[in-house]
Amino acid sequence: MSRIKKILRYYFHHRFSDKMVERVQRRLIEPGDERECEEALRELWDEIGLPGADRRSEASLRRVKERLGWRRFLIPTWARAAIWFIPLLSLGISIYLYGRVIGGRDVPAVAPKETFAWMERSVPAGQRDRLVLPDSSEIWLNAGTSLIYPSEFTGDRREVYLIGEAYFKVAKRPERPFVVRMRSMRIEVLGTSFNVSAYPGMEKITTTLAEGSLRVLPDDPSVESHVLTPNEQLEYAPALKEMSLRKVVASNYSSWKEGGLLFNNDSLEYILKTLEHVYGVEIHLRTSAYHANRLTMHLNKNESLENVLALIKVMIPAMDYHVEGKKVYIE
Amino acid sequence: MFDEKSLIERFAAGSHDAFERLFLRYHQKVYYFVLGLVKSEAEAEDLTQDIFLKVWTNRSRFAEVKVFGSYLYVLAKYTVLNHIEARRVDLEELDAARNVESGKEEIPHEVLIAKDLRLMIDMIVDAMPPQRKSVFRMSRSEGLTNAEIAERLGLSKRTVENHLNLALKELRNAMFLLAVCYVLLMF
Repeated sequence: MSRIKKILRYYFHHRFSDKMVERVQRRLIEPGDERECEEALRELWDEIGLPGADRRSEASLRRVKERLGWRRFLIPTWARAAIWFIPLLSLGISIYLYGRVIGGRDVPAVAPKETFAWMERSVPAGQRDRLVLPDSSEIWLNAGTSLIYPSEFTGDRREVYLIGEAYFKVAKRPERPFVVRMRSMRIEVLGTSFNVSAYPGMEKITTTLAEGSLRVLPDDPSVESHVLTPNEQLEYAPALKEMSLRKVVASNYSSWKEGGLLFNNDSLEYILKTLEHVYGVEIHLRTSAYHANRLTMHLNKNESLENVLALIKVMIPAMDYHVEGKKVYIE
Repeated sequence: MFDEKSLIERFAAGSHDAFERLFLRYHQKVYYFVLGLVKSEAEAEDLTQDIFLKVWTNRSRFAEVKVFGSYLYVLAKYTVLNHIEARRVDLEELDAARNVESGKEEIPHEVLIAKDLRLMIDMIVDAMPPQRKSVFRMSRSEGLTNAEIAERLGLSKRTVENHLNLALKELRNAMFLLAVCYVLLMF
């Protein structure tokens, strides 16, 4: 390997004092080894791969649009997440009205309820919860998750609203499809078990099917709906209109119910984002060197964050991290 | 499953939506590339924005582009190198180099190699964790014995030895094949 290549690669992957940075940069712009320098830079560029967009990317995009003078709708982020509640409100109103109307009609079997209430269950960081719906479907909620559901299922569908991650064991009712609505898409099933991860901060919504059959329907009409079979996992990135499908062991993706954390050849990016939710911390990645690394780890219930990070370091020795309160910095 | 080509075509034709999607797709890649070279998060963020602004301004050139990443790389590379040059270039040195017929030829090859080796060593030492850095410097630059270092820093002799072993191992791993003799000469 040429000298400038070695220098560049070492410089790229480590942190230095300001004086040192200045020295290396001066060396970088010295004429004479442009070709090797170009080769080294191209390799470093390729090695980065394609890390997913995060909050910083979105903030950056907003700035760029400002500088370009593009009009934008000034909706703050909290409101963006809440925007799909609006159809919920109208749905609630229409069900209320509908309920009143059928009150007077001849309805066999089930006694009609005129009204029902919307219920909300929220789980803070670091905890999990489980609830049972009026139709005896079971739902496990992961850390940082909210579920909105009715006290009674009326109408021709069973509909709930999800922000976050949940594992559903839906009771089979062919005459009443079960619909999970979340940002940018919905899932329709008849009776089945599946995991869906739809956290607001993440670029992708991940649906993993354990048993039965499931259909993913994006809100965006230009993106096709998709049917899953057991042990298939679908990742949908709404901003990019991208869907990708892979075969997995479905139980790995719902092991969080029992408190364990299971990662099977998952990217470090995915693992760190999961840790953010489970432990309620912010992880600042200061280097892209490990984005493509894939790890397999099985962690026990209630493992401390320190232990998890130490374990990751065992697998990626070059990685350095330090924890400051609720923030984790990784070099 | 993902078709970038039509996205690029729409972008080249001026679609804001296509630009935004390409932005979100490539932003982190550009950011980390720039950060690796400028080492400042604030600078990296500013430069990344500049790069994408240039991408937008030059959108019509992308009409024939098949791989967005390659063209983006070229834009990113030149933006960063120009930025570094603007900050670091020493105008006096530049004039002096210009005055000589072809500056580099005047300097013997061995000197250039030695300069680069020196830089590499200094980088590795600079990047060491604080305690190891102190131990190494005391041993190599100040010429203290392991016992003396242990006493000065309040460490066990074993710890000092470990630090030195690790430091030398790092240097060995990163060094060029012919480096060893030069390392000895340096000190």
